[in-house]
Amino acid sequence: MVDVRDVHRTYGSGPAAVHALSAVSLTVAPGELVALVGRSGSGKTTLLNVVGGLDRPDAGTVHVAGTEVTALDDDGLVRLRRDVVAYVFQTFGLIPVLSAAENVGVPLRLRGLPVADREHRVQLLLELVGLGAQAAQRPGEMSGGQQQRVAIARALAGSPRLLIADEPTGQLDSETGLAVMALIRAVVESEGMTAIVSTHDPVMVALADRVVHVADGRLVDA
Amino acid sequence: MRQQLVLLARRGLAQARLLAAVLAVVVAGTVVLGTCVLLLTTGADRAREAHLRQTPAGDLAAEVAIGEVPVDARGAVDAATGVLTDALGPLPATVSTWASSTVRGFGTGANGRPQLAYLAGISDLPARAELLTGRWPAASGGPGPLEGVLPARAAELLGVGPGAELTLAAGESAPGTAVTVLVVGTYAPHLADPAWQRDLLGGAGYTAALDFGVWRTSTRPAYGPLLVDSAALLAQPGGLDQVRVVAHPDLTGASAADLDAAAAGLDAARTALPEALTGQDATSRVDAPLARTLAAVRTQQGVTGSAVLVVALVGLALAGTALGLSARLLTGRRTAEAALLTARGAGRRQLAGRAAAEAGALAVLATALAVPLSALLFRGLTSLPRPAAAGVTGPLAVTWPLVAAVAGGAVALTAVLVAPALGPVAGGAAVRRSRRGVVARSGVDLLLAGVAALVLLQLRAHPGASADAVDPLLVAAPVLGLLAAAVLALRVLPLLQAGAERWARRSRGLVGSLAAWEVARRPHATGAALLLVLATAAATFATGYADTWSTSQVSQAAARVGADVTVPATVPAPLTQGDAVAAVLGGTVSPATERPVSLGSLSATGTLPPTTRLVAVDTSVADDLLVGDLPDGGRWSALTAGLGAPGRAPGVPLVVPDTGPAVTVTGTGADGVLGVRPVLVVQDAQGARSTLTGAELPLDGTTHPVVLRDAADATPGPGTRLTVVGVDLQLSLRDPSAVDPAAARGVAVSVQLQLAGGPPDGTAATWTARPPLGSSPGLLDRAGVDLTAGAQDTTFAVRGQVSPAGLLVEQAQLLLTAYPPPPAVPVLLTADLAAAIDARPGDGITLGVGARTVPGRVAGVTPWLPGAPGEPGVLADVEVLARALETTGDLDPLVDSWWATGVADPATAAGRLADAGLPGAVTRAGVAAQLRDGPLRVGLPVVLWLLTAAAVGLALTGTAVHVAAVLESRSVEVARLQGMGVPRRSVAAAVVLEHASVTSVAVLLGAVVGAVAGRVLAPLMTVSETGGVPVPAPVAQWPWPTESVLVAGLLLGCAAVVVPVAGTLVRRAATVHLRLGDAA
Repeated sequence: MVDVRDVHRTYGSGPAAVHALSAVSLTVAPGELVALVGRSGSGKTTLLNVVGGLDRPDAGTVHVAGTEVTALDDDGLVRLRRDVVAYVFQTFGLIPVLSAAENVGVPLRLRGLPVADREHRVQLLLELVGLGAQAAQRPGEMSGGQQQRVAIARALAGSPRLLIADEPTGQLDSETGLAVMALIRAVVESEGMTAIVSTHDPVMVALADRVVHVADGRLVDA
Repeated sequence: MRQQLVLLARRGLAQARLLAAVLAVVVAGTVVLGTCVLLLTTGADRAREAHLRQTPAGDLAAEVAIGEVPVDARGAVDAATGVLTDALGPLPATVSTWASSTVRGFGTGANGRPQLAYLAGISDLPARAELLTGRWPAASGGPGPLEGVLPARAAELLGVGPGAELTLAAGESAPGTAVTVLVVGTYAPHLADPAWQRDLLGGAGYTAALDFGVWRTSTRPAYGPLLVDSAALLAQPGGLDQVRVVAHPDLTGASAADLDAAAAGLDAARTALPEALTGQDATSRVDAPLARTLAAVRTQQGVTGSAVLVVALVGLALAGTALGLSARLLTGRRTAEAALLTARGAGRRQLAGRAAAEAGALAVLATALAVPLSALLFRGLTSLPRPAAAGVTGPLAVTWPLVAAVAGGAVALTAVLVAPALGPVAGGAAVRRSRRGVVARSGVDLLLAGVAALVLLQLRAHPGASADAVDPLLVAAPVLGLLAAAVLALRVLPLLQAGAERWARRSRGLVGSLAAWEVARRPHATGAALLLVLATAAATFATGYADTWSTSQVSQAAARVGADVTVPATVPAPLTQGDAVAAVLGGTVSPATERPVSLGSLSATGTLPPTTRLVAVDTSVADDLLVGDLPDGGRWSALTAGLGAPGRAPGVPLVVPDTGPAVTVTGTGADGVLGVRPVLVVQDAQGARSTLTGAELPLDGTTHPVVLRDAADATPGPGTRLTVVGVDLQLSLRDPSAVDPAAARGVAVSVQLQLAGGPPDGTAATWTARPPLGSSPGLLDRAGVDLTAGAQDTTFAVRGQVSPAGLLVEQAQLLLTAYPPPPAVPVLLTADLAAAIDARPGDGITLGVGARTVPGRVAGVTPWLPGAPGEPGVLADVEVLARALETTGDLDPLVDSWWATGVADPATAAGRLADAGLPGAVTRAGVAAQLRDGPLRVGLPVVLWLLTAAAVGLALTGTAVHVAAVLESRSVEVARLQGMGVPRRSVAAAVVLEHASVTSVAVLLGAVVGAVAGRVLAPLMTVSETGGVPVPAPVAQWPWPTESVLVAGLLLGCAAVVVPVAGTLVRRAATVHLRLGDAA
């Protein structure tokens, strides 16, 4: 599903250059939940950005679902993010003026789904994440856990084949984080999607199919 | 402290763009304020100076008139001079005197009639007249004759020149001894000099008929003035009729305080003068045109000052609104910082102090920028063509009032930035409206609606401006009205927002929905919308008001002049003056009567106003002649339909032949004892009546040629073509001793009057002969007339029976006319006059014109009187009025002026008339230009241009600040949308659509508010130059092309601001915030 080959990414130049990724290669099989583990600044987020097409590597190639991401132009990357990849942000990434249902409906509006179908699927997704009763609430009126669950529902709305989550429990308490982790595990299994999750959370690590350690921009064996 | 300043400086650098935009708003607001202050101070001084420079010298003079001149005339003049110079205080003045003697006997003329003459002494004689022959009179204190100069006209008629000695007799009205004058020259008066209006004959030099006697019941030929040395005349013992002492102050560089002191001094002179002349046994009065001029200047400057203050207040309100918006954006941007500082223990006072320090720095910077910018803008505005033509342009002006106003304005405006720091630290944006907020807003709405209604009621209740100073009502009304209306108009937004929500919910797409949600749920949109609504309303209101005001000035000018051009008729008017005016001007020319009329009510009731004006013109060409807008687009022809005669009076042509007499008289009556003086009433091509008077001729059966003279004592030249519409045969006794006073029998009289010219243009049967109305009964009976028309001439054969005994008492008149006596003169009364006397159509009314009274009938009401708007008056048809007066025997010329419309190039008409030797004309275009673009008036359109420009500038600046700040705060959100696969162009489109919709709605709402304010407030705020209600009433204007361009310009300007800012921020959001790690 994901094939990363000899990727390099350096920020800055000269003595101040930071080698965020150095000769990183990684393969993730379809339906696999991979946990990226490493200290802050180790290169986890950069690797996720490169895989998701949010950043371009200096060298190397990235393939996602058979598409060479590193060769896509801006429109191709937009299509990739719209049809193949979905993100879950550490800070939830919800649009504050939209309700939970409207946030979840954004990817469906992008696809031009009929209104009735859209509302039906939004309701299904919110019930899937346990927020059917909070559909009309706005992010500011929900807890962090609820917001992250809305974010996951929104990520799932477009039926992506790859879910990228950057420390999705980073701002949640342990109990809520566990619930979110369990939800991601559940949707990966139920929707048959692939997921790459960066995390410090040992619970998440325990729920992953595979754990990849990142240190100083390189993948290391545990 | 130092650390605080360093922190402030660093934060300022980090937020430099936003602070620069805030600074721009403060500078814009203070520049408007500073420019207004300059307009109110330096501009007002320049306008006053320019106005006084352009004011005729006569209107800047102060005069003392002394009647019943005492023996010590010199002493009285010195006392009056002292009073005037004291009154004028610091203004240096040139004082001149004009002394006139009583009218004295001056021998007899060629026909044996006694003649009159009078003297005058003018201290600045060479400036008032041109010496034609000889020299000016020298001072004379000896026993010999006085030296004097004769008017050229008098010299010609008397057949005398330099070297001749003329003796003016002593008499009942000229006490003292006879005066002998040695003629040393002849002169021609400068008739354009209004000073000659003081002269008994207006500078004409001669009149054939000066009203004379205690009761002014007889007339005699009169000559004068014989100009003698002023000092010598004052030294004459008695015999002076009047002395005028005239002071002309030098107003160059006079300050407002000097002028106020002079005005007060002249006021006080009214009481000081009688005290100064105590013991002189003279009557005296002070006439101070200067004081009236200065009062008018004060009033006009007060009116213009009100408008300038309006603009200053609206400009400050706009800037305050823009800054309020900026303050909220700054606060939003600094929420995290404030929360952190609060968490670290910073109190509200510390936060406010930090904000105040920043505001103070901005105020200093803004003042430093706004002072020179205001001076430059003021110079630029006053250098525009219209102000420059008015003479208010001047050098750059940086004054203390400017600096103080700008600094004060900057502090006041930047204080708006401090206000948010005084409140609690803001949390996240409130996105739902609370019920309490809705209730509070409803209360505010009611309050604002009440304020707007109160403003309107006050303006309606107190039309016009206060006379002497800036009118607070005029100043406050538009600001309060616009603010209230703008805030109330914003209440439409929630309805639109609710609609946008509903639409977004039903929509399939994302772009429109995103825009709709943002519009509906972002509270900051309201602040930006308020600014745009207010700015658009101010700009469109200013544009509409300027057009309403300008149109009203044109309309007032039209009403004041009455036609395109009016030309005063000279007195006496030459026979050919109407033709000369028509030849120069072209178009439709009508004689006009403009004079006071005394009214007597036959059936109406009520109180008559003290002065009533009569205007009579040729109403058969009313639509072509009269200008000025009637209410509701009415036509003058419809209004004056019932005033006119069926047509011009049918007449008999009179053509003066190259040789031989134009008129001959043959008649019999009492064996030659009776004589007849024929007076022809002739009409020129313009319909103007005048008279040609012949000498008295004996009715002895012999045919006598008649030498005709017009009112100016000129004989019509060969080829002159006129129409005789009336004949007055004045019968008198040539030898009273041949008549027995006791004889009661009448004698038959027969007169044949033969006129050279073609056949009459009407039927002979329409001519009738009758004595004038009110003639003594029995004096003339059995009158009749027959007309015999030949190919080359027309003969009137008149018969009647006259009482010779009656002729011992008074002469008999026999009027021949081609029309019956009009039963009454139909007139239109001005609305206020009709209301004052409670007159209704059909009511009878008497019109006292001169010494005659004619019956009138109220035909209707006119909203105002052409040529005299705002005055109570009577409008009549000049032909009907002439007929009515003629049937009373009054043949005096009715022409006071000539009115012309349809004039080719009226702007140069006055010059062309002057070139043709015709008296000074008044043009509608000239009066309109003076009302619109005069030095004291042009400030108003200038300041309205300023308001329009300031409103547009502040709207665009505020929009730029708002868009930039909002988009910057939403950059993460924009990045997230792109992270979800929303194309960049779709995100940009959503952002642009969001702002475009808010902008469009706000601009359109503002235009509606501006239009409503313009329609309701502008006519009430438009006042006349005297601060009164204009006549005709102003009509609200909405210049669609200009307003459309303005609104489109605002929309395009906002688009020009929003689109690039949105594009830049969307692109930057993609590159900066799209990465997951930064999204936090």
